[in-house]
Amino acid sequence: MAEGAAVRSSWPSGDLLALGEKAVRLALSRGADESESFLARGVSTSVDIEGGRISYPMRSSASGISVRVLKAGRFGFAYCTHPDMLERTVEQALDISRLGKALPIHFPDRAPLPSPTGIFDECIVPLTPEDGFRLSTEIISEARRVDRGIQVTGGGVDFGFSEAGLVNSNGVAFSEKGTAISAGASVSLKGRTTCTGFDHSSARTLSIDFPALGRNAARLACASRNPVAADTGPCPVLLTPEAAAELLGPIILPALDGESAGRGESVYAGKVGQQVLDARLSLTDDGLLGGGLGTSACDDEGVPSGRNVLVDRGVLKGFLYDLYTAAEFGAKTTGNGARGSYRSPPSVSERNLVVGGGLEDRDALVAGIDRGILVHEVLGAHTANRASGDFSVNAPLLFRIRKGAIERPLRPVMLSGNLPELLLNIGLGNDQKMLASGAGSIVTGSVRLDNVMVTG
Amino acid sequence: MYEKVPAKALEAGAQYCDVRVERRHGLSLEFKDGEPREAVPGDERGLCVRVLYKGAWGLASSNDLSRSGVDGTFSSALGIARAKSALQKAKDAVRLAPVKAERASVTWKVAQNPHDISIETKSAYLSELSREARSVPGVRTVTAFYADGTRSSHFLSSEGADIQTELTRSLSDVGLVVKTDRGILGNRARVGGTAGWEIHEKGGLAQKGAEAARTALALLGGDRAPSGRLPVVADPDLAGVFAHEAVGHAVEGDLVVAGDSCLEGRLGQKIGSSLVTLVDDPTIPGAFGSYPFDDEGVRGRRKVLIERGVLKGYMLDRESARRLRSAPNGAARAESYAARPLVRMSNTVIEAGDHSHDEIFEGIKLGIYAKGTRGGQVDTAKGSFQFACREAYLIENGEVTRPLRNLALSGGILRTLREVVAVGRDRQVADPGYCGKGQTVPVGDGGPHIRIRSVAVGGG
Repeated sequence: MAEGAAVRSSWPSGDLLALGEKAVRLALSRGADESESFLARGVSTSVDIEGGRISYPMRSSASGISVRVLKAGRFGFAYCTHPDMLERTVEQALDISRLGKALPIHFPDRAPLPSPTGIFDECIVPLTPEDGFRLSTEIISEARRVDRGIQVTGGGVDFGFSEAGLVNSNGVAFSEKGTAISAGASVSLKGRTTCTGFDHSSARTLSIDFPALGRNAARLACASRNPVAADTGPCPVLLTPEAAAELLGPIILPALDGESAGRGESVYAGKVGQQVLDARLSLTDDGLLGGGLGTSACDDEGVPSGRNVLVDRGVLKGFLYDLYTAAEFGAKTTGNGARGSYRSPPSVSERNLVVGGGLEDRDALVAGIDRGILVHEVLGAHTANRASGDFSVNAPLLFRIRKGAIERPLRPVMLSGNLPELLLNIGLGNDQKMLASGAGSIVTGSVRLDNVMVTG
Repeated sequence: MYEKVPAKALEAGAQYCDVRVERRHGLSLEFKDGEPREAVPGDERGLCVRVLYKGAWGLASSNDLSRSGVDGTFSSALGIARAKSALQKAKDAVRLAPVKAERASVTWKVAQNPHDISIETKSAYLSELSREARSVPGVRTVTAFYADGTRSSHFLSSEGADIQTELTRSLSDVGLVVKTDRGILGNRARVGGTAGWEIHEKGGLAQKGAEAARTALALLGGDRAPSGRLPVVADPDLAGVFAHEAVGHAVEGDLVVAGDSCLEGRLGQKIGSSLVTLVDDPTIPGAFGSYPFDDEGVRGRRKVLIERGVLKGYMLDRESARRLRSAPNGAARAESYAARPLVRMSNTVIEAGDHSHDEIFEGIKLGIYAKGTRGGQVDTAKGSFQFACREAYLIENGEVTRPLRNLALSGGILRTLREVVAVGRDRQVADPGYCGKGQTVPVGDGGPHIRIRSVAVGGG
């Protein structure tokens, strides 16, 4: 659609990097020892579903620039949206740098960068809002084909393309284009009790099976009809990949942050070289995972991307760092400096955290449970005690497992336990899925935890 | 340049159009363990254009406020609305409930404009917060945070609304982790409001932070929480969270229209105990969730949602008001110019009752006294909620006896509303916080002490 494409960015025409270089030079001329500029621009389209209808299609064009300076080992940062605010932004960054903590820190030098795959799909760029309507309609009609009583209460399709640029005074001048698309469906089915179901998917390429999202969500809701009360007591719990990411992400990822380790806030602080997970389990953060949501040639500070093994067959190998936390805690950056947008200075985020090792057939995991539950959704993991890993979460969508078979749906329960302890003995399914997390993703299969306290 | 957009939309055949132009600028500062960790000054501008064409919405946003940028954003919104109208069934056509076209210019003045306070003064404050918390033995780490921001907005609609507002909010927060041989636990204290530097200067947060540290240490010495259904007394903080999470979300008009609320079709019905009256009120002076106009140009107002147990109303934007045959009540809020308005809460509060403190606890053989929260979630369709308490204590024979560790509550919204058996006289207003619903907006919540006959509790 010609009109949709007419949204312009506020940059002067020309290279994204030219403005970055201007900002870097300006900061040096005003007294910075080193300087850096991060620029981002992009166009995204979102088509929301509400109450079975497409509600609010929106096209957003965003652009911004941030400046970071180093002066006497101190960082200063500021951002703005308009090139005419650049001078003031540079002044603010320099002014702020007076406050910083002095650290032995330098911006990276220019270095050869790897070439990631699967992060830009030319098929996504020309997608129009009409395409979003069509794909959303496919999701809705496929869900209703499963059962006419299904209402698609939420979900929709989002897609966009963006370009990020990074320039620093040590020779880094890098830009990268990327695409992303995500889609989902939340459905409800009214009856004696209201049942819900959902499915969602995120990717960098046009590879999502849209009708399947509607179908899966609807089937899940239909299967959840007439739930019965769960027994209270400890039992094995099998988490779907979605539920596993919802529980593990908010508890385990902060524990792998080098800063929380350095400050003693992490349950894994001081445990490098020790067994912290099931001996079959490995955690790898892969900044170059093909098609990964967190994949790019370098991180948002210009550090080349790579693979970091954080836990190798249960043994803790290290933590995640960006430039600042590496300097503060005497480590080396792992290329995990991420910016949610031009508004944020870099902070540590996973790129693509892959939970791997000892994969078992998912059906065999179910078959191995005599009396337990299958959990599709976990709410409230962000309320866990991050320092200890103790959690109490709500599981609204779940099924009973008896003698190795998935049986009746159950009413919502509360799950509680200590996650680091539970992770010492787990089962991991081969049904791996990439799920959006932080500035990147978590890739995991189903996870079986033994001895979780279930309160019905 | 943007002023002409609504008229241009009508010329192009649109039924309705509004334009929201915003500038947001402010500063955030963070100290870790007594040292500066991060300082972020920012300044951004942008606009959002909303067009309703033959019953179909089209929206576009951009940072580009130049003539060509505004034109491009407008034609994008119009194009989307036109394209959607061609595909849409007549029964799905959006109609807007009528509102008064307001013309106003409102600046909420703060006693001390935070932009006039030097960064050194703000840093010294965070340093002081950190020092006080760190002075408590057992405190392992301290994060002190301060943020201020001013939002200047100009709203124009094709119906003639022309509203300029300027609001300043600020917030400071001290988060800490204590560690002993009994374990490790976090806690926090916070002040915030639609207010300036004065609330930080006089907010007593340094003492509250130190108090939070001592409380965390006491809780670490506590027992594991029991699991099962027990009577629960919620303090004003937690009552506010219940008001917001468990009830407030379920009366958001967009969720009701979408079939995503357990309170759909219940208007006028008795849904809870007669002791419960619940309001959402963006007019509370200085509260964090307050605002003069919502992002559809509708004046913010106090909304009685539940009155003595009877569901009296929903929170509504213009579209959900029309679908529910009601009047908009100023509950449409957008996170920024880059986001569309959604039905959101402001300050959500359970009104005071007439039980004394002693009456609230009287006769509880075995129960839980739960205070504050570390967060929570709700499933509005199923009507279930879950939250983790910040502090919990055992009640034995009407007396608060021992601290408990890591207690979480979960239950059904309707059952819990019915089981409110006592409501205290001691209402406290509007703890500052942020609510996420795809977009994040500042909110407040509060209430009195309340007693619930039984709630599922679980320990970590």
